[in-house]
Amino acid sequence: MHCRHSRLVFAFVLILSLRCVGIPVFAEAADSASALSDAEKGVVSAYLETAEAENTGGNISVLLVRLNEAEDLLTQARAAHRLGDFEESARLSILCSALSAEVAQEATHLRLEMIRVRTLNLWLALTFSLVSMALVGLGCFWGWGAFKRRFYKRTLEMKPEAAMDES
Amino acid sequence: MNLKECRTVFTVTGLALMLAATSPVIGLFVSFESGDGRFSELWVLGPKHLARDYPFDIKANVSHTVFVGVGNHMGTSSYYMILVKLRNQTQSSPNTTAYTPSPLLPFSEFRFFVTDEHNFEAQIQFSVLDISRSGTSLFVLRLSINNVIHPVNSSANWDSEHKGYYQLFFELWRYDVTSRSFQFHNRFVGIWLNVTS
Repeated sequence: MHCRHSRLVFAFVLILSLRCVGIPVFAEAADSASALSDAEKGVVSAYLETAEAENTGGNISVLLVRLNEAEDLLTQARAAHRLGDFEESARLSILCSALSAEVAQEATHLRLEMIRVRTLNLWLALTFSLVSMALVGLGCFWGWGAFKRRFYKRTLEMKPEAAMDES
Repeated sequence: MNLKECRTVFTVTGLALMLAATSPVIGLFVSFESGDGRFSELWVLGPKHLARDYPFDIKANVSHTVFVGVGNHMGTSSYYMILVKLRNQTQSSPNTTAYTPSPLLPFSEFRFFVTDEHNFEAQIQFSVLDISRSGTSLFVLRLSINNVIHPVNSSANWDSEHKGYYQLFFELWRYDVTSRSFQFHNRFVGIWLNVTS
C-alpha cells in the first residue's frame, strides 16, 4: 500500500514537472522552429519580389543590403536555435520576418513605380515613332513627287529640237 | 539612272528611315545581350587575404582563417549559398563535369545576396577540436567553424597525391527563381589539410 502510494506521488510529481518544465520547452522549440521557417520563407519571398523589381529595371542595391541584414538575423536565429536558446531564436526570426516584409513591400512599390515609368516611356516612344514614321512617309511622298517633276523637266530640256529644212 | 531605278532608291531609303524612326519602340522589346558570358566567381584566400599561405598544418584547438569570396557576373542579382564540407580521400568531391555536388552533408552554410557585378566575401575561422590516431589513420571528432562546433566523427588516411588528410571545401549554390530552390552552381574550391595532433 505504501509502495503504491509512493508510485502515485511519483507519477503526480512527474506529470506536474513535465507540465511545468517539459511541455513549455517543447512548445518554445516548436515556436522557435515555426518562427525560423516563417523567417526563411519571408526572406525568399522578399528576394523574389526584389528580383521582379530588378526585372522591371529598378535599382535594387539598397534592398539587397537590407536583405543581407535579414539573412544575418536568420543566421543568428539558426545558431540560437541549435544552441537551444529558443526565445532568442524566435525573437531574431521575428525581427528577420519584419525586415523581410518591409523589403518585400518596398520592392513591390519599386516594381509598380518602374512599371509606371516603363509604360510612360513606351507611350512616348510609340508617339515619337508614329510621328517620325508619318513625317518620313510624307517627306518621301513629297520628295518623290518633286524629284519626278524635276526629272521630267530635265528630260524634256534635253530633248533635241528638229530643224526644218525647206530647201 | 532611269525613273524606275530612282523609285527603288527612294523606296529603300524611305523604309530604312521608317525603321530608324521605330527604333525607340523596338529597343524597348529587343535585347541584344547574348547571355553567354554569364558566370559566378568563387575563390578562397589565405589569412593574409592573399592566394598563398593557406592553412595546411592544422593542430588541435588552433584556429585558422580563410576568406571565401563570390563574384556575381550573372547579369542580375543573385541569392547564393556556400556549403562548407569536409572530405577524406575516399569521399567524393563535387563533379563539375556532371554538374553534381558532393553527396556529403555540409557542416555549415552561408547565405547572402550579391548585386550584379559585385562581390561578397566571408571570413571563415575553423579549428579541429578532437583528434585521435590509430596506426596510419587519423580520427577527427569535432570541427569548429566560426565558433560553432560540429560533430565530424570521420577517419582519414594520408593522401599522398594531395599531401593531406582532409579537404575542407566550399560549394557554391545559387537560388533558382524558376524552381524556387537552391541549385548547385557547379563551382567549388578547397584546401587540403595536414592534421597533426
